[in-house]
Amino acid sequence: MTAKSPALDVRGLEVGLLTADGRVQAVREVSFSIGRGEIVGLVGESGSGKSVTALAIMGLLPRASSYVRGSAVIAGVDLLALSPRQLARVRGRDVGMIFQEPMSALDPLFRIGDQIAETVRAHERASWRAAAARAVEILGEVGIPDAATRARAYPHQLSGGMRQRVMIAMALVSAPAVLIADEPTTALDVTVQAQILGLLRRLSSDHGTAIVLITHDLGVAAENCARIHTMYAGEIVETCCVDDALLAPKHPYTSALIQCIPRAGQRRRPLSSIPGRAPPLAAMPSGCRFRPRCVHASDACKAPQPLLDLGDRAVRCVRYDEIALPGAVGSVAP
Amino acid sequence: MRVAACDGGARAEPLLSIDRLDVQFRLPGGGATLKAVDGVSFEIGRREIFGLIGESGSGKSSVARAIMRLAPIASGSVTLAGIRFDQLQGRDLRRHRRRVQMVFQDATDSLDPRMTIRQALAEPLRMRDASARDAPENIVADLLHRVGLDESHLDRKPRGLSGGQRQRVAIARALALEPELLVCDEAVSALDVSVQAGIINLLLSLQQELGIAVLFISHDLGVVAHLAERIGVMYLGRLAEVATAESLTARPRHPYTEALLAAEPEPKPSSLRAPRPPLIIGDAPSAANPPSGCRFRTRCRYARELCASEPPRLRPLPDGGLVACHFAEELVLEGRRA
Repeated sequence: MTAKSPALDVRGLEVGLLTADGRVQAVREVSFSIGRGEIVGLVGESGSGKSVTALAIMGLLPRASSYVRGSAVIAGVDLLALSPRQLARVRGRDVGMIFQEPMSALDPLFRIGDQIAETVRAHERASWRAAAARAVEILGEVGIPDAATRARAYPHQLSGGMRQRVMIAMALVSAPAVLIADEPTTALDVTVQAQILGLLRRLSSDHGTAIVLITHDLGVAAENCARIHTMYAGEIVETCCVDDALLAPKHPYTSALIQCIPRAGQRRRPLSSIPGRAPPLAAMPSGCRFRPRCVHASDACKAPQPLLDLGDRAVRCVRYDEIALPGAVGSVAP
Repeated sequence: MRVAACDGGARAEPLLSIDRLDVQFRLPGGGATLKAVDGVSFEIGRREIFGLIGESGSGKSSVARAIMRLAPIASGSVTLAGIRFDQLQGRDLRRHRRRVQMVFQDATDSLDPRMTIRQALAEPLRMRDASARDAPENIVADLLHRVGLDESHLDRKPRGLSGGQRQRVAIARALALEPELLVCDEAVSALDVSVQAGIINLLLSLQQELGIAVLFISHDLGVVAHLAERIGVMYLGRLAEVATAESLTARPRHPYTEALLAAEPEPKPSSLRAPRPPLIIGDAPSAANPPSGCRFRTRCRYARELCASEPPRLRPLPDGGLVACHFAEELVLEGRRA
């Protein structure tokens, strides 16, 4: 693998789900790539498709009620083309995932050290003793004090922040090139969140782990990601470096989302909110999916909207160069 | 000790006055008790939005529940407009209870899934006026409009509404009883930001147009600082600091407040952010077994010997705020840039 080739390259991801409303498309035309040591954000509100994207890449959607098209390549291997058995070998070894709720990944009946050691043995030939030593080592690396003792604890004996660290340790013990973190700090207190995000940044810079950080929190994205992909109703609507998104967003949704966040200096003034609600998957509007809620919508928006490549950024809005959109800093961007 | 109001000037009788409130729960198995709230005092003025912020285990929800008479008060008092609210019983309690209403995090849990919105709104109206068999349509319509909904929602059930709309119904239900104080416990925390903004605007308009006071409890400092005029910061059952939103965020006086501000991620471009390492390490100790002296001392980077032996009292500062830190005068703490 050359230095240039991305750690994870997702192309043309499409996800359909079988729901009570019939077959719906949950994710459409999602492409992104992420390099070694990079942290890239998938940002959006609930229902935007960011978690479904992650689950599809990991092959964690139920096969019977979903279909996934496109490719997700790590180290030359397309995850989406693998059989369940092949995928099980790749998961954990080449790509790890952490979730909002650590108890979804931890078994309450086993000591945390044993659970991590088991993960080690699933991917490499190691004795129990060596795997257990490796577990203690990684627990220390993710900032668990007195790791040798804590390795003998059961999940319920740990605080939320500590469990989150254990899940991160388990995801990273086989040193995967790619880590998908789905709202990893949403359930945590803000002081603990700061520590966990610091840990992820350090892993990324020290070990070159490529991290896909899925978050609804633009603040979390701003402080941790180099680039962000803003998702709305199953599509990426804007891709750019995080400062561009905050200073001069080019998609009306990105701009509207920024304007909803309370800002110091505008205390106790009404916030702008986005009228209406995101469309249900079963009833997507034609053309631009944000059109019914967009104050800038015109007839041109009724046509299907491709993601327009603007060189260092991309935007799914036909009117991007006609409209001036405000960012996170007071006035309307030039 | 009676805690002075911190607006610096003369002050009318507060709407709500909480004095040395203790809330205790008995832990399962054995006789150990957990002091969820330990000697908390603050006041909320008429028409004031007072924010209460803290992390999990700080006791902020227990304060709310104690006010609502949903949690056991071990000692201290809750006075509403001159009435000892915590001592009301029977008929008096029923008569006065409507004056304080509560909105919870998830309206799915507080709305009956089988009731239509019309029924959900009519129920409190019947409590207000027992003689009225049916809630007058125009009052129901007024309530709906007040919270930004309309008649088309009347015959739907909670399931047929979005999360934001359900929260609006929960607020309308609370308003039906014409309360003087609205207690919001993480009322916008489960909502997407675009929806959250609408509820925040609604609360602001209720205060400005109806003159309702709000106790707004949240873990989200950005939201609290936007809405509230004054903010109380809680840590492990005690108030660490009370100040106006402006001075609390620009010039925190308690090390815990400083750490909270530093930890809050800011949606700003890198040029406008001052990246700082987290100021506190580790998790909060258990409220069942709090540290001696100052409860924050185990995570405080300024802690000294005195902090372990002597619990700091919440005391007034010359600038009008209240702080519970022995060294507030000499510490130079960093706030957030505007």
